Amino acid sequence: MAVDFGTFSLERRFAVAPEVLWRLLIESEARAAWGAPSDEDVLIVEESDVRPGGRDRHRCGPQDNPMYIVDTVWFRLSSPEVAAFTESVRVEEEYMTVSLVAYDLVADGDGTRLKVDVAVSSFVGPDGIGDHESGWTSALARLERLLPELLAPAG
Amino acid sequence: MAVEHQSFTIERSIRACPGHVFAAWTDPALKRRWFVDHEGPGWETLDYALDFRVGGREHGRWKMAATDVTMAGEHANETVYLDIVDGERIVYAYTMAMDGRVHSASLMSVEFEESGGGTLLRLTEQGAFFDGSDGIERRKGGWEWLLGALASALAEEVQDA
Repeated sequence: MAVDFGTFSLERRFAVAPEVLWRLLIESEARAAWGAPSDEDVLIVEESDVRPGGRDRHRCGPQDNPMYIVDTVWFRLSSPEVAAFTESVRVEEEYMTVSLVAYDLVADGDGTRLKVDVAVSSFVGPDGIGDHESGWTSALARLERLLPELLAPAG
Repeated sequence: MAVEHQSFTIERSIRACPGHVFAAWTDPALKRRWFVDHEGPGWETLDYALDFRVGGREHGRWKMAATDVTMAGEHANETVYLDIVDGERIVYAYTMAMDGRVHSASLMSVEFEESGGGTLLRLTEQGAFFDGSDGIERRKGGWEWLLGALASALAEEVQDA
C-alpha cells in the first residue's frame, strides 16, 4: 500500500508563561493528563527519557484496551522555544502512522502562543492523517481546560 | 526562533531491480559508498555506522571544506529507523547538524516500486528547518545529487561483478 502524506498546523494561546507551558508539554505526568486523542481515551506513559536522542513510550486508546503503542524520539529540545520529535503509532507490530511534530512557543504578553506543526506519513490510508489532526485538536483543548488543575500545587 | 515546515517528493527511475535498490539502503558498505563517501577536495568522512532495523540508528559525520562558506564545516547526520517493509518502504527520522548544532529534523519515507524492469524510487521528506538550516531547496538539491550517486554506485557494483 502506498504511503499517504499530510501536514497540518494548530495554533493556540495559553495564559501562562513560555517556561510553564514548556513544562506541561514536556513532562510525562502532565502529558498523561492532557495528551490522549479524545476525552474517552487514556494515555499511559510507560517510558520517558526527554533529551535529544532520548525515547518515550506510551500507550493510548480506550481505558479497557489502550492498544495503540506510541514511540517518541526526541530530536531537538530548545527550552522554552522549540521542540521537535517523532511519534510512531502501531498496534502490536503493525505500524499505522509516523509523524514529525514541532512545537514553537512565542511569548505573547502574559501568555504564550503555541504552534504545533505535524507532518504525518500514514500507512492506513488518508484517514490516518485526519485522525491525527482531530487527536491533536482534542489534546490541546484538554490542555487548555486542565491548565488550572495542572498548575495547582501538589497535595 | 521560528521553525519552517516544508515537504518535497522526488521520483527517480533506477536501472536495477527493487531488491538491489533496496539493498543500497540496507547494506552498510553499499550505503556508505553513495551516502557519505564522496570524492572531492576538502571532503573527509570522519565516521559512519548503520544498524538497519526498526529502532536502529545510523550515524554519519563528514567535513566539507571546498564548498561555499555557508556549508563549510563539520556535518553530522543522525537517523532512527521507524518502519521497514522489506523491499517496499523505509520510514525514518533524521537530524542534520553543522559544527555540533542541529539545524533540521525530518521525517523521510522511501518507497520502492518495480517499474519497466527497473525501480521507481519515491522519496518524500517532511522537514522542520530551524535557524541556520540549509533550507528546503538546497536539501532537495542535495537529495537529487545523492540519488545520482546511488544509481552510480549500483551501476559500478554490476560492472565489478
